[in-house]
Amino acid sequence: MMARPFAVACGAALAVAVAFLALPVVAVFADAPPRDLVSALGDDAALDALRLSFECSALALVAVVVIGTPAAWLLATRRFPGRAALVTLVELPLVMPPAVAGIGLLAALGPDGILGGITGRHLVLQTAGVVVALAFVSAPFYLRLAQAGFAAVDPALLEASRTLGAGEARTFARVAVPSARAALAAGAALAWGRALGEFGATLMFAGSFRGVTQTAPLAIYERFSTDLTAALALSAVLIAVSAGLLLAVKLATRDAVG
Amino acid sequence: MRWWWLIGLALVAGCGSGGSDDLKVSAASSLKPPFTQLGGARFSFAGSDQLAAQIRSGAKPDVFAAANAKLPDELYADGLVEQPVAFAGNRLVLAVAPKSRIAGLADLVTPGVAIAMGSSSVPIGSYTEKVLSGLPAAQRAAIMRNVRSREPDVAGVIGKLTEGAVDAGFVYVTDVRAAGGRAEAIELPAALEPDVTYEAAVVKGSGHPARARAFIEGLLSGRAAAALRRAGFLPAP
Amino acid sequence: MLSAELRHPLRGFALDVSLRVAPGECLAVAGPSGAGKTTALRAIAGLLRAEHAAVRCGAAVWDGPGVRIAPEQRRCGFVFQDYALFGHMTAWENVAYGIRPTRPRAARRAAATALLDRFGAGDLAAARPRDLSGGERQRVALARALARRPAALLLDEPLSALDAATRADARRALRTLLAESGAPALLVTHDFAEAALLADRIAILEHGHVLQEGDAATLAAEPRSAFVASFTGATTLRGSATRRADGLTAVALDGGGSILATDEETGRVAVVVHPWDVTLEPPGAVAGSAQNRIDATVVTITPAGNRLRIGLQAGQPLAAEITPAGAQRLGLAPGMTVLATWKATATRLVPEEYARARHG
Repeated sequence: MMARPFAVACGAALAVAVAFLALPVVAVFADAPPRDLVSALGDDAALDALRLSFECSALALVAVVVIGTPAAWLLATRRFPGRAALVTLVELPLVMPPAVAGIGLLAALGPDGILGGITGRHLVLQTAGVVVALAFVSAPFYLRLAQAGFAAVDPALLEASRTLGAGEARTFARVAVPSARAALAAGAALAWGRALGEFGATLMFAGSFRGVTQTAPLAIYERFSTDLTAALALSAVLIAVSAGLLLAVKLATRDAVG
Repeated sequence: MRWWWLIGLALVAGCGSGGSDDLKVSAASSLKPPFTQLGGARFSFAGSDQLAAQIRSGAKPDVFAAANAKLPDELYADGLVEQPVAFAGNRLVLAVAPKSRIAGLADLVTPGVAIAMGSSSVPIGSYTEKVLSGLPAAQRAAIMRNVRSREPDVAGVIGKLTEGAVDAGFVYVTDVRAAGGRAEAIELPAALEPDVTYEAAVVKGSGHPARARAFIEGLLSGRAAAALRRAGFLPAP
Repeated sequence: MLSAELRHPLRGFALDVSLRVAPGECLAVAGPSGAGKTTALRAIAGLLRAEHAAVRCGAAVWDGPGVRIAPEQRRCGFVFQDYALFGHMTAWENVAYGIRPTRPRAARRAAATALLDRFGAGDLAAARPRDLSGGERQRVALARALARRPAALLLDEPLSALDAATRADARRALRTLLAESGAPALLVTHDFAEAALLADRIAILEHGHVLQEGDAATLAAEPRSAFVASFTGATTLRGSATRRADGLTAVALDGGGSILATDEETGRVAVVVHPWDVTLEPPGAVAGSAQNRIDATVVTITPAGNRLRIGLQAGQPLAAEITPAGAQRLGLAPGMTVLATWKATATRLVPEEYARARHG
C-alpha cells in the first residue's frame, strides 16, 4: 500500500537527478554549431592546453597508482596504532576546497614553503608543479577505492597463495592486485577524471601560462570572457574524453566481476 | 509526514529570502580592499572581463564596477548597462619583494627573473601590455620571455609575488598598499603609465536601479569615495 | 613425521594439543565447531601465530624456540574449506601457481595438466573456477595442493562444501591425494563419519583438548567419555548406577526405566548403546536373552545408506538401526509404541563426571 507513492517519489528523484546532471553536458554541445567547435579547436593555444592537460594528468595518475597501490595495500591489510588517523589524513584532500589545496601546496612546496629549499622554483610555475597539484587532489580518489578493493579480497585467497610458496610481495602482485582490479581501475578512472578537471589548485600553485601550466580548464576559464565558442569547444572535448575514459574503464573491467 | 513539509518550507523560504534586499555589486579584484569595508551590499570580486562575460551571459548584478572603461562601454553599446560613470583612477606599478635586487624595468630583462602579469583580456593585463609596448622591441621581448604566468585577475598576480613564486609582478599601486609590508612598489616611467580609469554602471534589469545609482554616486562623494581615497585610488580623471 | 605441540588461547578456553602424524598416514582431528580444530591447522601451516608452538615436519623445524618459519617457506599443501581457487586464473594456472616460476611456461602448463589428470580433471585445465562445479573445483584444489610436492598435507573440512551426491566421488579423489603424496596428512572435520572414511586415526577434539585418539572402530566401540560416545554416533542415556549382588550393574534411567550392564560403575553414568545393537519388537513381545527392554515411542524414521535409523523416545531419546525389511515387518510408523531391546553386554557405562572433569 505504501510502496506505490514511494516508488513514484523515487522515480521523480531519479528524473530530477538525471536532468540536473545531463543538462549542462547537453547544453555544451548544443550551444555552438559543430563547425565553430571544430575550427576553434584548430587554435594552437587550445591544442597546447589539451596536450598539457592529458600529459600532466597521465603523469599524475602514474605517480598516484605506483605509490598509492602498495600504500593502499598496507592500509587495507594491516592494523596498527594510528591507522584510522592516517586514513583520514590521506582522504583530506577529498574535502578540501581546491584553492585551499593550492595554498597548502604553496605552504609546503612553494619557494617560501617548508620544503622550499629543495623544491623551490622547480615546481611553482612549472609543468612539474601542475603534475604535483593534480596528483595531490586526485590521489585520495584512488587510495580510497584501492583500499576498499584490497580489503574486499577474500583472505583465504591470500592465505592460499602463502601456502603455495608465495611471499607477501608475490601474493600482492599475483593475487591481490588481479583480484582487486575492478576497484583499482575504477579508482584510477575517478582519479584521472579529477585530475583532468582540476583548476583552483593548479592556478594557485603552478600559475597559468600557455604551453607550460595552462591546462584545459584554465584555458576554458580564460576564453570564457573573450571567446565563448572556444570555451565551449574545449569543454566539449574534455567532456567527450572524460566520457570515453569512463566507458573504457567499464568495458575493461566488465569481466572482472566475480 | 508533517516534518517533511516543514523542512521543505524552510528550504524554500531560505532560498527566497537569502539577502535579496542587499545590493549586488560585481567589482574588479583591485577594488576588494576598499569595498570590503563598506556594508549594505554583497560584493563579487573577479577579473573585470570575467564579470562582463557573466553579464553578457545573463547575470544581473545591480552594479558593475570595472578596472577600465572599455568593458563597461562595450556593455553600454550593447544595451546591457546604463551609461557608465568614471569614479576612480589608479597607477600601474612594478611590484617586487621587499629588499629585492630589482630596481626597475631594466632589471627585468635578465634571464632567470620570473614575472607575473594579467592575461590579455583582464584590464591589468591589457594595461601591462600597453606599458610594455612603449619599450624598445628587444627589451619588451626579453621581458616577455621572463613572464611565467598570465593570471586571470590582479589578485593572482600579487599573490604569486607574495608567495615568492615570482620576483616581480605588474599590479596597481593600491594592491601593493593592501599587501602591507610583503611587497614594494617600483614606479614606472611616467611616459609609459597608461590611463587607468575605473568605470561603474547600473546593470539593466537590476531589481534596485535607484539604490544602484545611489551606490555609484557614493563612489564619487561619500563613504565609498573616502574608502577609495584611503586605499590609494586616484580621483576620477 | 609431522609433529605439533600447540597452545593458544581461544574464546572461553585454551587450545592445548600434541599431534603426531607419520608419513603416509592420515590423522583426522574431529570435533564440534569452535573446538579449535581449524585454529590448530592454521597454526601448523604458519597462517596463525600460536602463543606457544613447537612444530616439526621431518627434519625441518617450522616452529620452535626462537624459530618461526613463514608460511611460504613451509612446504605444506593446504586445502581450504571453500577451496580458495584464484578466480582470475584458469585451472591449470591455479595448479601451476605452486610450481617454481623459473621453469618455462610450457613446462609448467604440462606439469599442471598432468597433476589435474591424476584427479580426473585434465580436461578442465583451461576452464575458470567460476565455470566449474563444486566437485570439479575440489579436484583442482587438491591438484594445486600437490603442486609443491608438499612435506605435509593439511585439509580443512575437505568435503563440507559439497552436496551429498558429490561427496562419494570427492572422497575417492581425496584418497587419491593421500595415496599419491605419501606425506603425513592432517584433516580437520566436524563429521565423524567423514573422519572414519578418510583417516587412519582420529583424534577427538573438544574445548581445545584431545579427548581420545584411535581408529574409528575403537572410538565408536570404546568411547572413554560421553562426549566421544555421542560424537561417534552412539546413543547416550543418563542414569544412576548401583552394583547388584549378581555382579551386574543396574542403572536407573532418568525419565524412567531401568537397564542392566556388565560394566562396573557406580554413581552418575552415561549409558552408551550403539543403534545397531538395538532390536525393535512389537510391544509385549516374549522376552529373549536380551536383558534390557524399554518401551519406547517411534518419533522419526530416517534412511541412512541401506539401513533405517529409528529415532525413539523413552523418557530420553534413543536410536535404533534396522533394515527396511524389518521395519516393514513391524509396520513401523511414527507414533507407534515398540519394545526396544539390547543386551547387557552391549551396554557401555561411562562415568558422567569423567566427561565433565576435563573441562569444567
